[in-house]
Amino acid sequence: MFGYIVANTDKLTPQQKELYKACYCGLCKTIGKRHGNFSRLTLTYDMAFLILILSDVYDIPLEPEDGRCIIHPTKALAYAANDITAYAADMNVALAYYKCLDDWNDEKNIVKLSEAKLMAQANKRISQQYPRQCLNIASCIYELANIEKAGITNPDIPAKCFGRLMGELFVWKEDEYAQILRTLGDRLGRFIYMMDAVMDLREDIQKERYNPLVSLTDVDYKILLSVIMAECVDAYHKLPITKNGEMLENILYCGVWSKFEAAQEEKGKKNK
Amino acid sequence: MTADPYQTLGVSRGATEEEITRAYRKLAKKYHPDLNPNDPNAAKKMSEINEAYDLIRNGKTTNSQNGGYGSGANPYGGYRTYTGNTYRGSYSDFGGFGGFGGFGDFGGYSQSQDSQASGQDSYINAARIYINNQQFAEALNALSNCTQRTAQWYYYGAIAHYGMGNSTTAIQYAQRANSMEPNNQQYATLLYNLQNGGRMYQERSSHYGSPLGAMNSICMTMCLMRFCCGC
Repeated sequence: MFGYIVANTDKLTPQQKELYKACYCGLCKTIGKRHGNFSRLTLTYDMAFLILILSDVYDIPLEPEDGRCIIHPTKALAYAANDITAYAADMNVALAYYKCLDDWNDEKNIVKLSEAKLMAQANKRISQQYPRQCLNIASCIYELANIEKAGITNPDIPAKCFGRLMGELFVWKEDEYAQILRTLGDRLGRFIYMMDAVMDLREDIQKERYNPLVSLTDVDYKILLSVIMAECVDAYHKLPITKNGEMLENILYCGVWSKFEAAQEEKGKKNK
Repeated sequence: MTADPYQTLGVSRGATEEEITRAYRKLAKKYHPDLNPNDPNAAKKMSEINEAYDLIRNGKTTNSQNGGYGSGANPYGGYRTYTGNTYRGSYSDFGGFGGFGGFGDFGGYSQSQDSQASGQDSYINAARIYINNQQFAEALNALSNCTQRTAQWYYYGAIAHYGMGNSTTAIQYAQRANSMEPNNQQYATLLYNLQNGGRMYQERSSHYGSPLGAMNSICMTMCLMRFCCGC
């Protein structure tokens, strides 16, 4: 479900590439420090987008500093971390925790249960500090499981549910930016859900699993996804972005299509 | 569609929801166009199967928007019991790229010669009134009472779904209305407007070129990350 909100690094300047990578390394370091080494495996680039956008909106500096990789101390790296990184680290772990629980409830995958147990302590701390976001994650994941069990054929229903999950994460503080960020996050969440459903469609049909896209006919997935992104960027353009606009727009206009375009290319090769 | 939906899915009238869903997925596996790219009839067959599934499900459920599903105690514990969410997003979200400024006023009253269809007409008219008052959920409820899925039904359904924030369903419905009556300017305009934000977004996207190169480098980076961080 994650890994779609990424940048097209080919179009980034060397400086931007360094900041993007440093954001990721900073997040990794912060998760490890706050929630233990195991939690670092749950790391995603999607949270790097959250860090970049909130840092810009709230004007919190995000500068790469020299350091070393915590796993491989001989490896020199650049880190960028600030208060938003700490928030993103907490959200990253909370998401991973509830996802593991959901997988355990769904597939009775014992590995997922033990992973959840490893993050339980961390999640308890996080949910005490951020009850709004964590309650929301829990209830949305629960609702998604119900939607799936009920076999709801309208794809907008689960997409909107995941949108609500993501939307709340983007609201760091309940201030004048909250509603715009909530909408941005909400549409991004809908996009992620739909994109994931598109990517998984073939396999889901073959394995007779739930996928609401099965009920659509004569579909142009690109336009459906673009309509969602259009609403997302509408919200984005209302934010006071002053520093990392180029990188953020790279992600929102280009990077989010990476897996989709790769799959199309793969399909094109097969049909030749 | 005149065929018996139960017959289309190959299930008995007493079949459970689980049996019906299983039958549906088995048929989808057999007929879905994605898995049968060389079969020109696959899309049509899949459409029939989808319609049958939908009809049976709507007959069993009371709520047309979400099909109704149970809620109970939250198994994740530690929080208050989950009782269900009713999300009413802001309709002003549909501005800029996304929106096309209101749906206009729907005047007039639809009258049909066929007395059997007059029930249909009254539900469609009710839906039209609800839409004028921005009461989209109520409009969908009204439409769910119709027995015929006409182009007009799809047209108003599209608008109501769009008002609910169901952009994907809205576009599907608008497409149906348009393909059933291709000469209807109103239906064509609605479809165009619904997709317009997406088109404008795509145009701006195209200035970035293909992200194919990005995929490989991101993958490599992440693979290396996992490798080096994999304890």
